[in-house]
Amino acid sequence: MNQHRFIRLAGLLLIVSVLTLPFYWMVVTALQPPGALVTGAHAWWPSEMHWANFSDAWNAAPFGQFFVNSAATGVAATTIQVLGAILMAYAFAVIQFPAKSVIVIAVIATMAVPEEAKLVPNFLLMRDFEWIDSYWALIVPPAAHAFPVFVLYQWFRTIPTSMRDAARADGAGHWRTLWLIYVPMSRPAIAAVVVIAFLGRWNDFLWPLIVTNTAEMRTLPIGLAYLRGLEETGNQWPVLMAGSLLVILPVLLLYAVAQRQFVEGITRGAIKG
Amino acid sequence: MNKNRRLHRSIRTFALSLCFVLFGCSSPQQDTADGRTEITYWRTLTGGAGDAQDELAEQFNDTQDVATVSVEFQGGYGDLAAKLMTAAAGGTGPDVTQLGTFEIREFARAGLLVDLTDYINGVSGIDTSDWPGTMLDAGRVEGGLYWLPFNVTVPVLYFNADAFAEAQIEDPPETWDTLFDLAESLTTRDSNGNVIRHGLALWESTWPLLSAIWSEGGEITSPDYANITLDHPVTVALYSRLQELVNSGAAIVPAKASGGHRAAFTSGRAAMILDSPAPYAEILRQSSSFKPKVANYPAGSQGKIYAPGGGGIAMLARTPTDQRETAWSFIRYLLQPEQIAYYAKRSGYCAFTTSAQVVGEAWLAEPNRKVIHDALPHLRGDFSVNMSPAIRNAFDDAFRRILIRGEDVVTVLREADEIAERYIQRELAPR
Repeated sequence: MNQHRFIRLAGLLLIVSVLTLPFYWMVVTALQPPGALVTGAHAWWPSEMHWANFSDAWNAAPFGQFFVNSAATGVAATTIQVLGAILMAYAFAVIQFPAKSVIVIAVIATMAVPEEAKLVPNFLLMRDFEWIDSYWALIVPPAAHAFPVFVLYQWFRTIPTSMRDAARADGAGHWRTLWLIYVPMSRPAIAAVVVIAFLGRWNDFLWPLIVTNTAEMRTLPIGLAYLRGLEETGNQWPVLMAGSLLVILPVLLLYAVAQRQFVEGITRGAIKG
Repeated sequence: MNKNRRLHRSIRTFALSLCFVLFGCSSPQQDTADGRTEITYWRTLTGGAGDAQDELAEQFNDTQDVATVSVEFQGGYGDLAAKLMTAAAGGTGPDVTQLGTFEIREFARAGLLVDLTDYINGVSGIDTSDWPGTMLDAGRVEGGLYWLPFNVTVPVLYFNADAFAEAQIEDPPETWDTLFDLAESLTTRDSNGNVIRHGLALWESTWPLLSAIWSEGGEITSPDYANITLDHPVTVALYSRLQELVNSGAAIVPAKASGGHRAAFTSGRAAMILDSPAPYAEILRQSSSFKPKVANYPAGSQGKIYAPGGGGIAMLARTPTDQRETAWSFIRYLLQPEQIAYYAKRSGYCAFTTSAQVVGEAWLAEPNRKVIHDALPHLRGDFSVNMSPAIRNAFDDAFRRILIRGEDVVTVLREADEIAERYIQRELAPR
């Protein structure tokens, strides 16, 4: 028994090490002196912490503005996406209406359409709406996503119908049933889709690059491109890694806060259907 | 890298089809509040190479009162190309753009770029008589001129002067054969036969090899792509020799993740690298344990023939006709000797015209800078390979298979040639 436990723990430790090693390397590189990687002086732990990499990264581009833009558009798009998903998932899981199964399949099927294929049509729409280089372009098109609908639809179907019947017996309509029964009982799933949706917005590079032109509207992933060198000139790896750390810190905090619900939401939603 | 390339290619393919329908919808002339015409310029490059473009635009705005250029950074070359295609499909985008060499043919054939022939030869044209090699040909596609060089770079050999002295070698190699022989002489081993220092660290890029192939009389393709020759005997001989060096430990292809060939050189683990002058200052600063020097690439049986690198400038077809003269005046400004010299000094790229070198004479007096610029007359501005992703990708893949995975040279190059032949048909299909 003890031996099995030891082997299991050792295996887990190995997997954790493999998964965390790139992150560790990123942190250590961010603290190395400039050129350490290129000169071969890169160490597993820097002899001297080079904190200036963080200020260099921050000053290389208007990262303060990028943070504001990423946060504002990320929160707005995530809110719209998750609210829409809750309403759609409830309708699909609970309410009977004509051609429901066809509509459900059509919505879920949009997950199979590559983002790149939607790029030009969405861009044309943004142009016609005169939303290029505006928050609207960063919020509205990305808010339309089927994945949260799929996850919440699966989750809502696992909620016993007796709960709904009891609510109805107490005089609750669909609106109250949704917000007083389904949403409170689906916190893990909602937390999971919030994290996933926000991550998607936070990390998105291509769409913000396509629909924004000025530094005032740019988001963090494009900010990292300001730190990235070319093959011809080479990268300043410590500065790039410091910038990357600054960018992922808020997401790590979000994950730390919603970790329990996130894991539960993903696993339950994936298994039950 | 490959994922990015696939992504950009898929976006381009989709957007190109829309461009044919939509590119003609040019926007009306845009004027600023002070009556100036507004010109939008999209650029790539970061650091000094990016900042210097912003500075040149500001200087242009200050020198005249007809136009105002606003500069917008659009990521790397691939990102910029993807955005240009998407914007063109929507009838929007810049008036003038920086553009890598890979997209010239594709964009020109899609009708996205303005033919600059009349502008460059017109009253307000540019005197290109002192441009090196055939640089003007780089932007020629099917009889038109769609691209002009701007951030030009040349190949450079960096060598460890201490290692050379230790091996009693006085001068950098004059021929490719000598270079490969030196790679063996400069390799040092410990008592167990383990390599301490490799003679040559190869960049995981085919760009340096083009110079070797061309200068030995080889060709990758004919300019019209009718005859692709990735398995040319010169290329086979070159790869065979390099593979031999890699197998013996005299050469190495270091992984990019570990800093690549530059890390191998600056750490003293390799005595020579084939590179560009762009990282010149960094390499010299980081090579603290030995004396680094630069030299031109060697000559082959055909003399010195070098493949240029970098990017250039193009005007977009969406630019309204009445605004094109103004857009051209900005392009012309960027390509004046003073501006070329200014950009070279700020960015590390080359002052590629003789007149620009005169302007930057004091700065170019530094011996290593002079060596770098000595390569310019030998540039072959034939970007035919760069303009075709089909050939480029097949050739890059062959490099990895031969020098990293150790596969058979003849077989790999023959397969690469067949792949390139197949894909070029799609690329050149009538639109």
